[in-house]
Amino acid sequence: MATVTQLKDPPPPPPIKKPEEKPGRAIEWTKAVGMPIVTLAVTVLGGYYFTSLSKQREDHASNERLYAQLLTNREQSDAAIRKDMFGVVINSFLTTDKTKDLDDKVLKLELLANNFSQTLDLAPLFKDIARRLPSASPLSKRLDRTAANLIFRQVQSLSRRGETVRKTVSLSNWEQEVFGKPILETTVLKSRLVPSTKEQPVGAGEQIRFSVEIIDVDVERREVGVRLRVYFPGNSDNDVDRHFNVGPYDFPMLDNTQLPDGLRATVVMTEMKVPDSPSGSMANSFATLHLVIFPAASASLKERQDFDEILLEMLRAERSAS
Amino acid sequence: MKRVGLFVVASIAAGMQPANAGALYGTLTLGNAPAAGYSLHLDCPGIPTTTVATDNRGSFSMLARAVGSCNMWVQHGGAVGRKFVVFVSDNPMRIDLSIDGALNKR
Repeated sequence: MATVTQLKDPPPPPPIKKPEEKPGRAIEWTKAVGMPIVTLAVTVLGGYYFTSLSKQREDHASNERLYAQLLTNREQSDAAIRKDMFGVVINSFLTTDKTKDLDDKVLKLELLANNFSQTLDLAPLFKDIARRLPSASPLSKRLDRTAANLIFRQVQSLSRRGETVRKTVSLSNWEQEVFGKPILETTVLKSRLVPSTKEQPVGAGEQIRFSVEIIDVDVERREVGVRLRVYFPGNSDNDVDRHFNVGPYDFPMLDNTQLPDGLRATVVMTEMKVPDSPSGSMANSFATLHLVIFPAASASLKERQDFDEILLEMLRAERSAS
Repeated sequence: MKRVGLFVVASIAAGMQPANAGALYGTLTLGNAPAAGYSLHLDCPGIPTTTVATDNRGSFSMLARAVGSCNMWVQHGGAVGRKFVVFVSDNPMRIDLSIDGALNKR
């Protein structure tokens, strides 16, 4: 009889170890543990960053508000001091007897001129005091020097944003030598003074021409009559042709001619030497005149700007910033 | 009587000649264009005629040694326009003039 050997069932094969099972677990563990940590970290760091950024912005805004507040307070206290000072000086100046103590009058006028020249037209006060002072007296010279220094400072200030031309002219035999001939002339690029806009573009080569002539000399009042001509490029309707008197107490920020395109022009005098009497010799007489052209925004606070001038000034500021 | 008469005449003449001359200035245009290089003559009683030429923009300035009514006319080359009346003062005055092709004031 044959023996049948029954083969045992082969042992089950050992489980095949899948290589990805271990890394898979690792990823899961990583996810399970790492994600909360990462989330926590992002939350903490992000929160810290945004919090600090927000705090920085708040601090910055707070500092700006504080700075503005300090400036405002400073301006208010300065205005209060000036208001009190102005009240005291102008009341004293106008109410005291004008024939007495001209020295004190000149001092008060100097105070007013040095502190309030941009807000108050002081020319009438200067002229009134000058009439009462003997010509060529020390007080008269002091008055003229105060006015001339102030005019000169204003001319310097205005010329930084505009243009200025100066000339000293002999007044000897002025009718034959000077009359009808331009004594101050300049040509300014319009683009330098007027911002170009889409609605009103300003060409690169457009020029505005200024011309000043002496048409009168008044020795007694120490004034010269001038003719101012302004020629704008293109449209001659904007051209200006006018005359006015210029004396030693006319200040450029207050006494000026309004021009188109938000501009102003003025002619002022810082020196005039004439004979002490109208019948005296004019041989050594002369006058120093300045032609100043500037944007209307630089004019005195007393001078109200037109709406167009304000817009033009905003455009100028925008152009400067860019 | 003669002396009084002379005195009166001299006074009238002196009255017409102010101590200060007044400037008369402005622009001369031919139609809408500036009249450049044209001559303007001003004739006031008792004083010599004043003549000035316009510049390249038609602008002119002249001293008027009189007060009141004077005659003015325009000349260009050989052509002379009709006289017209202008008023002058011892203060500066502006006068803008427009002429036609015959140099007459419009």
